[in-house]
Amino acid sequence: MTKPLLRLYVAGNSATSRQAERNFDRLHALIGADYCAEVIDVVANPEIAERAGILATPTLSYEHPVRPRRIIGDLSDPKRVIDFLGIPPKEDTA
Amino acid sequence: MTTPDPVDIPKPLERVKTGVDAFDELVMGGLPRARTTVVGGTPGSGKTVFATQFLAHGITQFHEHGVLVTFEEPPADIESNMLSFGWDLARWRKENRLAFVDASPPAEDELVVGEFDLGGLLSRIQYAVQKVKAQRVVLDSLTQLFDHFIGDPKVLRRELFRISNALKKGGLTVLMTAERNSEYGEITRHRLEEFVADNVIILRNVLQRERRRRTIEVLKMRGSHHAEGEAPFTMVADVGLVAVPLSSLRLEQESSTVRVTSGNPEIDKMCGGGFFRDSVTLVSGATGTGKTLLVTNFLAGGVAAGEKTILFGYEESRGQLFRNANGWGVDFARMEHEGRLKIVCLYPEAQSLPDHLLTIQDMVDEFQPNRIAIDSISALERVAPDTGFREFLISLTSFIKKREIAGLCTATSKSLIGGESASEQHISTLTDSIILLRYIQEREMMNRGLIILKMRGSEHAKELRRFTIDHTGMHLGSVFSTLQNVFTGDRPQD
Repeated sequence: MTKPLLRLYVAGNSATSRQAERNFDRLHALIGADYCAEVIDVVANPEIAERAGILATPTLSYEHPVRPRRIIGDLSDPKRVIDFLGIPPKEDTA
Repeated sequence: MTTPDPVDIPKPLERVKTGVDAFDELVMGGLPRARTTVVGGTPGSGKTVFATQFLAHGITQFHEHGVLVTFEEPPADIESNMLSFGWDLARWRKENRLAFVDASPPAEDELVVGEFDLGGLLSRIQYAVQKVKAQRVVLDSLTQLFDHFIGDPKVLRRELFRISNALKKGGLTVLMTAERNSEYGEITRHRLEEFVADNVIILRNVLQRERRRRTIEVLKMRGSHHAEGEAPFTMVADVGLVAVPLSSLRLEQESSTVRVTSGNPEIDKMCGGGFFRDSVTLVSGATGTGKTLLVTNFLAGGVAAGEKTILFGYEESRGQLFRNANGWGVDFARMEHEGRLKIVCLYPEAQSLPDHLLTIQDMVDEFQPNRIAIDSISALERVAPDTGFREFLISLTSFIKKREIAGLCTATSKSLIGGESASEQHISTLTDSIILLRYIQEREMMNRGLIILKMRGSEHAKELRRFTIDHTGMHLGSVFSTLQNVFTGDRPQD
């Protein structure tokens, strides 16, 4: 089974985007290696942003096959992020 | 396009035509290039049509490609909606002359946690601009964007300012639409215009006397002059938004000295040799005084001189007009058959005044007549409130003069003896000549009288002439000696 994907869209070197990247790293450490994480810079890859329909940056996209979700903002509150995405704590995975 | 000048030297703003001609005239040639214009309007006021026309006109007329950022409807919907105006957005998209940025609301759940900006939107717009080498950008509508990020209006204001600046720096002319809550209140919801707009335009769709009246107004044009007031407009299939030019009109018509016959030799004599070729004459009188007869003579006189004529009837049907004309010895049917006459009968209520005006203009451009008659102008007054009617008259008379055709309009006065109608008040200053037809009571007899009240640029007879009507038409007789006041119906005091 392929791992679920978390994709963070950022815009260049803006302060909020850098902040979000740091928070994203922390978040990834928190939920474990069973999730793929990837960062996309919309300034460098606007066509990807177009296809994904990204308006705001940073946007964290949870590419869930049934319940895809998006979180806009610098992810400054990891607990709320995890709650909203519905990701279980990392010890649950065998 | 040249590269943008890094130094901000004040110079005349270059203009970008919107495709709404009369509007471009109001703003001295078009929207200023590399500026942002906010178009505000209530739902259904025509914002999207105006914005799309702005893009379509650039694409089709100037090879200026466009980007349409849509926050509300998905591109496919807009493409099919705009086909009715003759704009094939899908084709232009395939030809890389138009690009969409689909910013319609996402389907999935969304949450806002912490700080954000609209970097995603900006880079998508810039990407699209680059892809089609666009020079015009439309964002439609900002209100949807604000509804999407409802909790963060401050962020949006800051970000829209940033987007607007970035696009302007790239030399792009930007048009953003925004919703208004009411026709005469706050300029836009969320007061977008205050922080983002160099220029503000308002589209209105007002219910007045049970009729829709659409207008366009330029509220603000930073650093340049513009005409004030609301200009009426209408939406036309295959064309889009068509504004009606009004009071700002220049008096550019040249005056002709060529005379044409009124169709009645006696009246020609009273006018000093006939009407001027590019003049508009008003015939005013109560019902039954012979206005339609003068119209019939006017048309028949034109046809007899080898001219083409057109008649717009708003009071009587074709059948009635034909019968009337026959009663005075004029064969309308033959004239039409020979292609010398075209009769258009319409109910005044069938359409709005701006639409009536467009109908007249279209027919005239198609038929190319030498003279035009409108019977009656006062019937059209029923359709619109005062300001709308006056604007209509101004546009109509100036159109007739520009085409250098002779015009004759009739107006029905309300009372049988003397009297003045509102249309007279409006039109008397706009027409070159005025002929009054009046009932004149003499002892037990009711006679008819005709007087030429005004004839611009010419001598004319000043007396009130008796006239009769029979099966061969109008016959002028002697001068009334003991006059009534033709305006009030009163006898003079002496």
